[in-house]
Amino acid sequence: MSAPTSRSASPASLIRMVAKREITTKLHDRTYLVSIGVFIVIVLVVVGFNVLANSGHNEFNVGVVGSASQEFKSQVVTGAKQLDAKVTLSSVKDEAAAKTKLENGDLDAVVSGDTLITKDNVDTTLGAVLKGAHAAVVQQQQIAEAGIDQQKLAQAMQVAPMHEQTIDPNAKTNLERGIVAIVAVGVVYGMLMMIGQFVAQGVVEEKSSRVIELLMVVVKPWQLLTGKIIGLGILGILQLAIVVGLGLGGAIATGLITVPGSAISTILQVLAWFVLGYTFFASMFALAASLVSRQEDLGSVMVPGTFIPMLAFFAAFKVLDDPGGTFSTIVSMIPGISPTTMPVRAAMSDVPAYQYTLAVVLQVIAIVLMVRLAGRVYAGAMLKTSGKLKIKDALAQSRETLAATNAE
Amino acid sequence: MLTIDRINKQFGSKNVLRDLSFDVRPGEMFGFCGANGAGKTTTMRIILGLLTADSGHVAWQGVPLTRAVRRTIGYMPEERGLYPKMRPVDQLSYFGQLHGLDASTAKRSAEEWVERLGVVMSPKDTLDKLSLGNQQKVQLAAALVHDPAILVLDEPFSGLDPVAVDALADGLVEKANAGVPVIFSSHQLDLVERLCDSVGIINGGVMVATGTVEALRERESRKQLAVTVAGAGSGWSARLPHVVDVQEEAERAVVTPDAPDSSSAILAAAMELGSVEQFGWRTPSLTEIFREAVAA
Repeated sequence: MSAPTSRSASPASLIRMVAKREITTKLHDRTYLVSIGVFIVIVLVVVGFNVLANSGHNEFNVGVVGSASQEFKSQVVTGAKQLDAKVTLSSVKDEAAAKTKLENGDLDAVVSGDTLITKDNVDTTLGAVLKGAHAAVVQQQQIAEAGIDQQKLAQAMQVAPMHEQTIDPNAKTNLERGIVAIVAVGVVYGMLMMIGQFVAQGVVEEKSSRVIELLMVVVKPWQLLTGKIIGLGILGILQLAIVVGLGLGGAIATGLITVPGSAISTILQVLAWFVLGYTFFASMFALAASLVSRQEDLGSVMVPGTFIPMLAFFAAFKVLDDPGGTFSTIVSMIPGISPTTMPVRAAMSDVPAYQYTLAVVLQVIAIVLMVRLAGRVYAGAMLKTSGKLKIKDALAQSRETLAATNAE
Repeated sequence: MLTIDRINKQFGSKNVLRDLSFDVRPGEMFGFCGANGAGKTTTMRIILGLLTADSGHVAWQGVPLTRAVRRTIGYMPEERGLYPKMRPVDQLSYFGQLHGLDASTAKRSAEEWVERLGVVMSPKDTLDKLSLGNQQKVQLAAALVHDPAILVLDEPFSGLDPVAVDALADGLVEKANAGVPVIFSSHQLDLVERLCDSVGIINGGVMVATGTVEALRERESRKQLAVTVAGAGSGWSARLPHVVDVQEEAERAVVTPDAPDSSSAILAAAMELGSVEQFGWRTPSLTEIFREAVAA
């Protein structure tokens, strides 16, 4: 008879195994895959629809009855350029032919002498280009006919452009960045709630299926909790990368939107805060979930937990409204609220470095405390696989479980 | 040898285990019997390191159990549990890895045990698609997948059909023959009697009887006589001397004498009543030993 060999595994490798299982199980879960697939399809449809709706926008085909003067042509080209449009001129035989082409959509407008013919309302941009060109050509003709010296007139018409002065030159970009931040926070918040829910469901699943007792023999409660949070967190970031990357990348690539360079830093900040916020809330959800033993009871214990991120999300809107106010300064430094409010505030105003640092430090401290508390409650609640527990009772029980599982 | 030495455990003011001691030698199959709530599960959880004893200790080869050794225990908890939405082979392989096997060994071992225990399923089935009996087999495979050095099984036979019981029993015997100490609790005392080398009977947190099945029988033997007398007439056994209790069924009777030494006097009296066809000390079944021990 041989003595049992001691096969030791490092905490890191145990955590890795737990995390890996969380990811692979989700990737095998048809419901999950379908929901992600639907997400991706929605993003693609939205991007695709916008691309289609915007393609050909500001590109016009205009027919000219007879032939257009060189002057008119050059005026149209200049005018179109100024308004960021493209107008192609072609000549048509007569008005009857022009009208047919207007009817079947080959032409957007027809210029016949001093008349502009369109099928229905003329596009504002196109109208401005054509009317402007027409006016310029006619003006020049009238000036020449009146015998006015063209050169003198040109000099008289020359006016230095009005000087522009802005009190807050960054106001517009700040608002743009703020909007980028709040949209990013919104997407990230949704993802956080979804992944947090997965963590909670996973914790209850292990209790309700009672597999927890087998796990606890080899994996310590904190390792199990850490592995679960890391595994699902990685999944969340991948999910975020796919959905956001596809949407944003697609939109930028097809020229649908232009993201200002400074927005990249805003998005990175939102993601960094996502990691902090996720760790905090996932631990909190795990704590709540470990108190119950059935999925049906999960809802009731999750309510206080989901209330805080919701509050944090609404606070972010208030910050968008008044980034420099006292309210913004305070909420952006409160742990749990800072992950959604600080990136918005930082995008819209200059946050003193000490305040930013303080917000991060406080949030990290809160995470450490929350993870420790969650780990204890989780440990104490693990072997109570029926009914609901109070945090106090779980903490009392945790002393023994931790003593047992931490003994070497 | 696995030694459980004077373990005490209280839950609140309730004494769940009192000075509980027993040994299981390598290759020995130890049947752990006791009524519900007697303390079997608590004892097993203490062995596994899920609970701590208030006093006393558990040792392997004379050394208190370390976590590293505990990782080599194969455990089947009373409250069965596996991941319902995971495929059996995937989760067995996961448990194998948690217990220290590398990925490929774990997968091979998982497939082997699923095959050996005759789990009926199609490869794509998740655990919750399997019948209860098959889920139970997967549960047992989870205790065996990492080639455990010690087996601790809480009610492994409950809920199994006779064919599955035999498959499981064969698996356990094989493990024991390979030198693994096997502890299992069961209410099916006939099974315990058939499989186990030694038995521990626990009652109210106290080990009331422990030892080999033979030794326990020895202890309980010379207490009842089986007597068959032909042609003695109804109520014959009541006329025997030195008898405390009788259960008569036609010619056969089970007789409890006042003392073992009274047997010759009883035999002589029986021969007076008719022709004695059978006379001898009765071998008690484990069920009887259990009743006796628990009632004492």
